[in-house]
Amino acid sequence: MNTQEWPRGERMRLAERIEELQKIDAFLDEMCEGLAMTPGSIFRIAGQYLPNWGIAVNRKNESWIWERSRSAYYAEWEGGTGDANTAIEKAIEKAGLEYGNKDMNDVLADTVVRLLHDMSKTIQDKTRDFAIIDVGAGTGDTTLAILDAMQSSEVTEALASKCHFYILEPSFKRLGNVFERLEEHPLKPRKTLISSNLEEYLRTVRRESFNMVVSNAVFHHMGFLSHLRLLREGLAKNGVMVIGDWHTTVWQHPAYVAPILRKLGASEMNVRKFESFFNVRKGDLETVESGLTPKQLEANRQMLAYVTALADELRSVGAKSKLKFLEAHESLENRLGKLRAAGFETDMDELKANYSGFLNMKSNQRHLYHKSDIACVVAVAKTKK
Amino acid sequence: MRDGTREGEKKPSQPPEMLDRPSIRPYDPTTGSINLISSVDSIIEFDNLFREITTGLPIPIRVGSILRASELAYPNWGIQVTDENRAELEKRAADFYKQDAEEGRLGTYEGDELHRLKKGLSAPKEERMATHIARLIKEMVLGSVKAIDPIRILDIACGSGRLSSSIATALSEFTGVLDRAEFHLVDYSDKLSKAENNLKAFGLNIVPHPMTDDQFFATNRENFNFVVSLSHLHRRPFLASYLAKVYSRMSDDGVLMIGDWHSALCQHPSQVYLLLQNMGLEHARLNRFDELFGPLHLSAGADRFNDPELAGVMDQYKYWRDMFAGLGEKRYEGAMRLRIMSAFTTNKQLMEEMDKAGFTTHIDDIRMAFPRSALPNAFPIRMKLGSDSAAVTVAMKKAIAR
Repeated sequence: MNTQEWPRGERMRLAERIEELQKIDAFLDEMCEGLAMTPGSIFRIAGQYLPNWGIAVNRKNESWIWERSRSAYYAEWEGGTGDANTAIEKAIEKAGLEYGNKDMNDVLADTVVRLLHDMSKTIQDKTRDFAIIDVGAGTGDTTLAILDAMQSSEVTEALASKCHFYILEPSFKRLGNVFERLEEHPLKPRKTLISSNLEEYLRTVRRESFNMVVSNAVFHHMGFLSHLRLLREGLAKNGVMVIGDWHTTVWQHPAYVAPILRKLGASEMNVRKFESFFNVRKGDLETVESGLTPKQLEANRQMLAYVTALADELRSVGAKSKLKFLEAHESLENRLGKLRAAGFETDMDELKANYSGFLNMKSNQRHLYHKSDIACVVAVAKTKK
Repeated sequence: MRDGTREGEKKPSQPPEMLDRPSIRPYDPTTGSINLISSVDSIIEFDNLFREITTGLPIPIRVGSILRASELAYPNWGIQVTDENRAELEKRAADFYKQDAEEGRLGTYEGDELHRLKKGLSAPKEERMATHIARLIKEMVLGSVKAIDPIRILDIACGSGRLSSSIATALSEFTGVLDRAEFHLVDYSDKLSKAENNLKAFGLNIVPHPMTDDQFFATNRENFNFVVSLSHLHRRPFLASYLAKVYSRMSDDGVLMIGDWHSALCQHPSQVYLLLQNMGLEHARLNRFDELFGPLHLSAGADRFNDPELAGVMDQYKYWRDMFAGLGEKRYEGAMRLRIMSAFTTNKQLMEEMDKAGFTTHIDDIRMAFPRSALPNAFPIRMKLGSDSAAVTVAMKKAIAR
């Protein structure tokens, strides 16, 4: 029997059987019915935090959980955000994160161009092309940011002719938009557009196809390691990956969710039911937060400011959206741990010593905001073994 | 109102085809001669007749005042700028742009579907222009002959801080650089507080200036290392006098960076006529246009422009076409109006005006001041292959040009 030690020292039995897991989602659905925004499936959160929610992941249930997580995100994407767009925009603005995604793309692009510039200086890389895959490309902001970074200097402009961009995006409509935008870019990039989801595509692609993986604000929708392993397989020897993403730990524990439910207009009785179901007690939040770094605390504060503002907006207009607020956000440390586990080198000294692209890099992590972990770009490389 | 007019907008008293012959116009149909209008009263009267062409349209798009166009284009529109009328025309032109901002304050502006549509069409390229400016500043700060300390940045018409956010992101890569930067944010609208909120997480040294740029230049006597603006200069019809004001506020090693939209569309009546025709404007309204401008609009305006500039015009046509498509059949009830006339210039015109104002736009001059900076081959930096439409233009105060 799987148990989990709770912040206050008790040990609790964790739910493992599929029927038990289904009941948890059913409970959340039922309890949050009618709210302006609902949590969505509990399996949307990062897998390592599930025990805090009373769930054990084991060999028997992991594929079910993984599939449930994946389908929960797809259902939301297919449903679209619809009328909630204005509320989202206002909430992002209130949280002071209006340009976060865009600025993170710029940081990511600078990192990519610096890596490519130094990689292309080595003898074996001087004449060859670089295959770069943009994972979850959306409307192409990340690839465009990379091209703009190349365009900004005559030193780096020539890199564009050495690169072939593979744009991976499930939405065909968005790919059309990417095509249009890349066609008109002054650096005339070479490109292949792929309408598929990440895992399906990577399972079909030849191993070691890409020299670089880039991705912005995508991986916080992927709670498990499997995509990272596949990406590693897709990377060529000495291949590198640059990821920009949102890092918070607000969904690591149900204690964070109760106040949000109140903000969304849940009755006090339902909030109590929630706390009782997930065994949340007074003082849990403080205990959880005592283990966080100042940068993690600030990241959580920013994220909660956004979610709270969104709840306010949705309630004020009386809108019921298809938005789900649980996501696979995780701490930067957790992400780095997952990357290592999937076979990526994350240590800067090792990267400097073994990978030409990192030779002149000061750090392979760049925070968008100095005092917060919330937006961070990380560059890693495929391990030699 | 169901007929498409709204409060404050004059409703035509009779259908356009029944309107009298224009009381004033720059050409004399009896003699065929063209006499540019120069008296302020006559210009206002003529301009009102022009604006009436689109009054009451069911879509929220209007031609707007001729005075919104670039001063360089006024003669093409039948208006002559003289020493006597210049100050008054400049003031009136500025007032028309102020009106846009006032409308923006009304009602549902931020959540407005029209606002969202406009933003959707322009924001992607504006964001890219912001990033280019930010990278240039980073390079110049790092590659300057002498250390820039403090780094004084003036963001004119900063809006909600898109450009300053990009600059802060670029400078934050290097420890201590942001600490010595001062961001002076000028904006007349309530977006200024949003800019402060958006920039809070960077821990910047912000000096807000809640006023128009004209008010700022009239009252502020500080100098700046970098003066930047995004999508704003096309709201300044009197470019030469504006650039002179900017020049006076720059330090000796100062660099001006403009990210803006460029087009020759509003530089000649023939191009605007074509756009209105493509919009499907009724014959009566188009006839009115003919009556007002006569041979002025029949003479070709586009033959003076090069390929990227013509592509810029085409891009602006596309912008309006996308706007119509986005508006669709929906009836728009908001307060905002989109006006076709704007002070767009071509990049070439802008750079010529910058040179006249005492700046240098030559990349070699700029390189000499920033020898260790990784700069592009040439300016402007275009956002679109073969088109002038969106670009970053850079000019340096000539005092340090070698």
